[in-house]
Amino acid sequence: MKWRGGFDFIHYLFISYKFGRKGENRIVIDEFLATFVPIIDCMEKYLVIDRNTEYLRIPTHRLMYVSSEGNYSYVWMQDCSKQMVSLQLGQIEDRLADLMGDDCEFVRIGKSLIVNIDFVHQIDISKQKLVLSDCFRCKYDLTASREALLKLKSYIMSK
Amino acid sequence: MKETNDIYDDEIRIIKREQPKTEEKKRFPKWLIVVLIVVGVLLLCGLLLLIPYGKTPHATAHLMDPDMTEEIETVFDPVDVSENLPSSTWFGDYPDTTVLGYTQRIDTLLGQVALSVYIPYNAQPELILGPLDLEDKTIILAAQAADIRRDNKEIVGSFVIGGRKISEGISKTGYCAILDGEVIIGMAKNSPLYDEAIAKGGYFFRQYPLVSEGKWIENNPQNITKRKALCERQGQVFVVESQTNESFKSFAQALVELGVNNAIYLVGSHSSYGWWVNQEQHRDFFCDSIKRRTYANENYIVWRR
Repeated sequence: MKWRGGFDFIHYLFISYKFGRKGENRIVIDEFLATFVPIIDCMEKYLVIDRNTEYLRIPTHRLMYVSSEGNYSYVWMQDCSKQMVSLQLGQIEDRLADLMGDDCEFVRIGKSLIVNIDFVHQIDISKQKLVLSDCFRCKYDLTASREALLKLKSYIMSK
Repeated sequence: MKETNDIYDDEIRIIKREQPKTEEKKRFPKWLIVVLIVVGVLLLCGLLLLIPYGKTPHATAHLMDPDMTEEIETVFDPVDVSENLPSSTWFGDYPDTTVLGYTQRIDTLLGQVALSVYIPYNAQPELILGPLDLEDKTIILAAQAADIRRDNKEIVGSFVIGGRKISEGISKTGYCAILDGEVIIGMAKNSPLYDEAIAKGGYFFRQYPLVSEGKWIENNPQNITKRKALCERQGQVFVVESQTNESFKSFAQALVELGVNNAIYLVGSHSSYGWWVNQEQHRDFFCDSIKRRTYANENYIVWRR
């Protein structure tokens, strides 16, 4: 094809795509979208904690769980580090809710835990054990009530 | 905010936005996103080519009406609250003087030291001697000030209350003087403010110095516990409490990081008594120990509204 200018290029790539013509351009665009749209989506998903003297920015897909410590919380990340933040668990839950929308990556378990369900590795209801792991670097053994673990298991299986 | 108590330990909650969706979220078609990106890039390239050389924002600045760039100060400008403090560095609220006195609590974290900053507003500082009166509703912030000796139960260091000398000594070099309603914190073996407090009917007590002129001060005690301090930061006076157990050193260093210019220690530990009243006039205690032992010489720095 002989290109007459930028408009022809855009027309070729997208107008034909929009009206459903099949062709090579459609494959190119699909690959392009598959690569960049998730990146654009992910760019918005950072848990940001900005207080007087404290600034923390955590990509939510690297956040494994959050535990409560009185008026403070510990944020446990995929690099096996933890960070204390001066927010209560409920406040973090609110921020995550705003970030996640309906994607439901996080679940509040009882009064003291928020877990990223992508990292749920093992649920042992009889031992009241919940293991979070990325099966690579980090593994955390947590404890929760039997009822809560049962509900968590049902939720994950229903997804 | 969701309270930690609105869920039981045997429950789980899927974290989602609270407002229900009334209709399917309309998303931009993916092809449109790509078109917009490409058009944006092309426009940017075009703009870069079209911008003439040498045209800077300064070249057009003189065309603007000078009145438009002039900053108009008003009496309600928060910067006026303190003469020597830019608003960007001021901690907390700017309540006007008609507001009933209260204490604002700000929680912050410096490194791994969790601190609570208690800032009193529309209240006058003073020292009181003897146990606190729980019925006294005028006190919006109270914290134990000078230490008491374990052996004879006397106050450690110089202590002046309303111009009356209660005790004398310089075993601790940090001091706090309250003169004409102003809190002055410093470090000196002999301070003229001690005599001035006696002459003017003011207040004076001594404690461990923690920060002097923005630098942390080393102290002998090495134990680790909850710490409390009376701080001055660019003219603003407040009380800081550590929520974690800290050594003198780590606490003082955290205060320096907080930007505190001068600070002295206040009676700390988990049994340190006192309270603060928030904007909703709810009173919270630093320590909930009802069966705590009281002493005739226990003393407090308080702010009364």
